[in-house]
Amino acid sequence: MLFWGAMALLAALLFGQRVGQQWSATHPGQTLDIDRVILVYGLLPRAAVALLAGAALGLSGLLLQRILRNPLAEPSTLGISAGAQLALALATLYAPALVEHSSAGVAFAGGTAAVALILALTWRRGLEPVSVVLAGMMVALTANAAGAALILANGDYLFSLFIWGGGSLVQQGWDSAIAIGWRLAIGFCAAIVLLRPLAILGLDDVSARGLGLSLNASRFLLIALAVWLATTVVAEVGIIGFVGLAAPVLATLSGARSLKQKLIAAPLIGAVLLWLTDGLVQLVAGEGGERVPTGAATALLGGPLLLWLLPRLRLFEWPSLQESRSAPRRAAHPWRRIALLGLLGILASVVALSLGQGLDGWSFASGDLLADLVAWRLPRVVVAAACGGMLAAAGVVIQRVTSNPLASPEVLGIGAGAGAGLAAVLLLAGIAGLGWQLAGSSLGALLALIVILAIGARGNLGPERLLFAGIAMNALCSAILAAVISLGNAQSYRLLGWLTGSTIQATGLEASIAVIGLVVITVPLLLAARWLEILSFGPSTALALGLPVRPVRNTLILIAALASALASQFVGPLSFVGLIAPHLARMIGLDRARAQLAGAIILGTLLMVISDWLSRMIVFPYQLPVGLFASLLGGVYLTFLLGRGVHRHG
Amino acid sequence: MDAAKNPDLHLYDIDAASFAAGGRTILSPLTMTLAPGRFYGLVGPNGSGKSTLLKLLARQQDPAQGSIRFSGRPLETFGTRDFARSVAYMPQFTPPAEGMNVRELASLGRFPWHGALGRFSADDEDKVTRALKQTSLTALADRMVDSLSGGERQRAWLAMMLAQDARCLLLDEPTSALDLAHQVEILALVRQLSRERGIAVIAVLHDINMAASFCDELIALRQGRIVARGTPDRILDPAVLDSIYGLAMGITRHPQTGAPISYVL
Repeated sequence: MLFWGAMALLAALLFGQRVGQQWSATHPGQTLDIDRVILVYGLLPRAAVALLAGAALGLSGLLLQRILRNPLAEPSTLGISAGAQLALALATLYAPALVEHSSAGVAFAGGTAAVALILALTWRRGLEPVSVVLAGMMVALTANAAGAALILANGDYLFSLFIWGGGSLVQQGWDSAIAIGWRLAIGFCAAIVLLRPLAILGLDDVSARGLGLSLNASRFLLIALAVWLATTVVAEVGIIGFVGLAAPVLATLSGARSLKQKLIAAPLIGAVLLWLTDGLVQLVAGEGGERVPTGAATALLGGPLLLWLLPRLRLFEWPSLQESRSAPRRAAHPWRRIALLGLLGILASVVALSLGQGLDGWSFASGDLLADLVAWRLPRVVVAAACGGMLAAAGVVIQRVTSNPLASPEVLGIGAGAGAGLAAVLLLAGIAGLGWQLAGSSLGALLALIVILAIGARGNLGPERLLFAGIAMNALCSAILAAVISLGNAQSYRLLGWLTGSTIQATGLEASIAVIGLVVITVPLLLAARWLEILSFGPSTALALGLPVRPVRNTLILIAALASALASQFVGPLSFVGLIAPHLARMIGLDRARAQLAGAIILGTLLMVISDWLSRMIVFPYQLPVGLFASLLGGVYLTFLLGRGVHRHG
Repeated sequence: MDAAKNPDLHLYDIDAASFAAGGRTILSPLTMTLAPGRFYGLVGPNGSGKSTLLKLLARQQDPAQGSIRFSGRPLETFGTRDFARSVAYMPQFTPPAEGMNVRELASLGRFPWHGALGRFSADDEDKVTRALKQTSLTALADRMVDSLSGGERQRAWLAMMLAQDARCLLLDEPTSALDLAHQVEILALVRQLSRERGIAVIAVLHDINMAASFCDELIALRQGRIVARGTPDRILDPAVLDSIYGLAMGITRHPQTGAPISYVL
C-alpha cells in the first residue's frame, strides 16, 4: 500500500514538474497562448489517458487472468492487441471509411477474432495455460509480421501507424481520454455486477458447474468485456504491453486477497504504472523525445519484471500436460528413411528452381531460360534451405538440452534477441556491414538464451515456466525493436524487412555464408549426438554417466544460439521451423538423437524451400516475405500439436 | 570394522564432510569409512540427510566443508568420466527414456569408457550383453523403455549402471515407486549383483524392515547426524530405533528365518 502510494507520489511529482514547467511558460491574459494550449490540450489529457488506459488494461488483464485461470493472460500475451492493430492496419488500407466511422469497432473486431482463434485452438485442451499463451504468442507474432509486411508494401503511408503501434501517448485533445473513460466506467460497473460468477470461474470447471453456474455463457461475456476494454486502448493509443499482466500480479503481491480488493487494486496499480512510465519516458526523452513510444517503454520495464516474477508465481497445476501420449513407432531403418527425405529435399529444390509462374501461366524452365532463372532463384533457395537446416538443428539442441518439447529458438525469444542485437548494431553504427550485423545478432541471441537459461536454472523452472520466460524475452526484445523501428529512418526499414523475414534480396555471398554456417554448425552436432542423447536425461543422470554437464551444455547452447542468430539474420525471427522440424522427425520414427538431428535438418530445409516457393507463387507477380509464410505453416502445425496434446520428455 | 584397520579396504573415506543450503545445515560434519563389496543401507526419517549424503558420495554436490576420498583419492581429483567408471549413481526419480529401447539405454552405460566420439567396441558390446543377462532383460532388450512396467524399468536402469562397470553403485530410494513384490525383486537382485561382482552398494531405503533383510550394514541418520551404524541385528533394537525415529517400536522375530522385524508400538 505504502509502496504504491510512494509510486503514485513519484508519478505525480514527475507530472507536476512537467506541468510546472509549462505553467511558468504561459502568459496569463493572452488569449492565444501556445504554451497554455499545450498544457490544456497536450499535457493534461496525456496524463488522463495514461491513468485511464492503465486502469483499463489492469482491469482487462485481471478479468482475463481470472477467467482463463492463467497468471500470464493479458491483452498482449493473448494476441488481442496485435489482432486489433492488424485489423486497424487492414481497414486503414482497404476500408478507410470504416476506420473513420468507428476505429474502436474495427479494433474490437480484430481483438475478438484473435481471442476466438486462440480459444478455438486450445478448447480441446481445456484452455490449459501454456497452450493458451503459446497460441497467443503465435497469433501475435503472425499478426505483427503481417502488419510489418503491409507497411513494407505500402511505405510511408502506414509508417505512422507503426509508430502509433508502439503505444504513443501523445495527445492533441481530450477525445481519447473521454473515449477510454466512459468505457472503463461501464466495464468496471459490469465487473462489479458479475463479481460472483467471476469468483466462481476462478475455481476449476467441476466445482464451478457444481455451484450451478452456466460456465460458457459467463465466461464468454467476461472475455468480451475484457477484449472491449483492451481494444479500446489499442484503438486510442496503440499497443501497451505488460500493464495488463503486471497490474493484477502486483495487486496480489501487495496483499489484495479477495476478488473485490483485486478489482479495485489492479486498475489503480495499472493506472499508476502507466502514468509513472509515461512520466519517465517524458523525463528521459526531454523535449524532442516523443519518438520513443510509451508502450515500448512499458515492455522494457515489464519484461524484466515478468522474468523476476516467474519463480515466485504460483501456477495452477494442469495434469493434462503430464500425461504422455503413446510414442510414435520407431522406424525400422532410420537411415533409409533419412536418405529418402534427402531425395525429397533435392527434388523439392529442383522444382523450386525450375517450376514457376510466368506471364503466360505455369511452366517448367529448361535450357537457357533455366540458366537465367537459376542465377536469380538459386541464392534465395539456398539461403532459405540452409537457414531451415540451421533452425531445425538449433531446435533439436534446445529441446534436448532443456528436456522441453515445446522449446525452440523462436519460442524462447532467441530469434527476437538476435533482432535486438541487430537493432543495437544498426543504431550504433548506422549502416553496418554484414559482418557487424552478424556479430550483433549473434551476441543478442546468445545473451537472450543465457538470460533465459540462467533464470531457468536459478528458479528451478519446469518446462512451462521456461516457456513463460521465453515469452517475456520475446516481448522485451520486440519492444526494443519497436522502439528502434519507430525512429523512422533507414535502419527502421532494414529492421522491418528483417522482421518479416525476407530472402528477396539474397545474394550469392549470403548464400555461401549460410551454407558454410550450416556445415560448420551441424557437422560437430552430428558427431556429438551422444551428448544430446545423454543430456536429455537431465543434468544429474548425465553427470552420473560421466558427462561434464556444464561445459557440454554451454558449448551446445553457444552452437544453438549461433545457428539461430545466423538463420534469423536471413529469414527473420519467427519461422517456427526450429519448433516443428524436430517434432516432425520424431513423428516419422526418428527418435535417436543422431537420426532425429539429421532428419530434422533435412525437414527444416524442405520446409523452408517449400515456404520460399509458395511465398513467390501465391500472390504472383508479387512476393510475400518467406518468414511470414513459414510462420503461417508453423502456426498450422502448432495448432495440430496443441489439439493432439503435448508430448513431453522432461 | 575391519575396513578401519586395513587401509587397502577403504572404498570411501569421509572426513568431517558437511553440507548446508540456504543457511540451513543439512548434514553436520560427518566422518566415516565405507568398505568395498558391501551392501550399505542408509535409513532415517524424512529430511535426515540420507539423500544429501548419497549425492555428496556421487559428486552430484560438493561438501560445504570437509573432504571425501574414494579409494584413497580426493573426489575432486577425478575427471568426470574417470569418476563415472568407478561409481554409478541412480537418482530417486529416473528420467523418462523416451525413444530408447532397453539395450540402447544399457549401452549408454558405456559412455564413460568410450566418450562422445569413441567407437562402440566389441568389448563394450559384451559388457552390455552381460549386464542385460544379469538383470534378466535379454528377452526384453528390444522393448521400448517407456513401455515397461515399473519394476522392469528399474531393472533396465540397473543394467545401465552394471554396463558402466563401476566398483560402487549409489541408489537413491530404488524401490520407492514399486509394489511389494517388485521391491523384493529389485533388492534381492541388487544384493545378488553385489555378491557376484563384488561391488559395493550404498542405497537410501525407506522401509527399515526391507533394508534390514537385504543389507549387510545399516547407517542411520537423524537431523544430519549419524545416530547408529551396524549390522541389521544391532540396529533393529527398540532403544536404537527410538533414537532414530523418536518413536516407540518393538521387535519380533520372523517365524521362519528368525530375522528381527520391527513394528510400531
